[in-house]
Amino acid sequence: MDIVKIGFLGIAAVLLTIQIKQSRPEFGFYIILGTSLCILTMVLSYFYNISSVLESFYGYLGEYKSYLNLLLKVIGVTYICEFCANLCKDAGYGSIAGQIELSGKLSVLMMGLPILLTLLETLKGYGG
Amino acid sequence: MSIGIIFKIAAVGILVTILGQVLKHSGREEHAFLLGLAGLVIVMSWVVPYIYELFETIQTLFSL
Repeated sequence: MDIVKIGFLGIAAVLLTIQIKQSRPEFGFYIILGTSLCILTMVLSYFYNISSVLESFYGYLGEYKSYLNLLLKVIGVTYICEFCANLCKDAGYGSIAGQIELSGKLSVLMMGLPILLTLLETLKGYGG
Repeated sequence: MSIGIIFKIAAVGILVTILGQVLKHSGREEHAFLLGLAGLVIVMSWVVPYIYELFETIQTLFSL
């Protein structure tokens, strides 16, 4: 059961960090960084199967194939933004985390705009 | 990507702490500071390749 391993890994890292935090605060942050890296690479193996299943959906999407890639891209961007923003928050630097989140939101918005345009055109087409 | 990296970082942290205390109490303040820097460099040399590999896989996986 992978989720149990991830859970215990997280708890073990937190206990280690508490121990080391008093005398060496910076090492506490390194342990947290290492742990989130380990957990993230574990979770990434799930994403390989998810994207392979999504590839099988390719056949059903007629001319909307690009939206599937866009969806994956958006997931990737949010994934990285979450990873970096939470790490910065953990280290106590909320402002940098806010900047990263803002840039993530903007890039996702920028990706989604073309779809909005096509939606409006199709609506106009129905409207006549 | 083994779980051992976390415990390696923790071990370096504990070592640096103890040696730092020893150095500090024997009057070698600047050596203790340099020791902390050495610890930083060692941990970074371990962690940075994993970070790079992680971002690489995310880019290829999500075709960013």
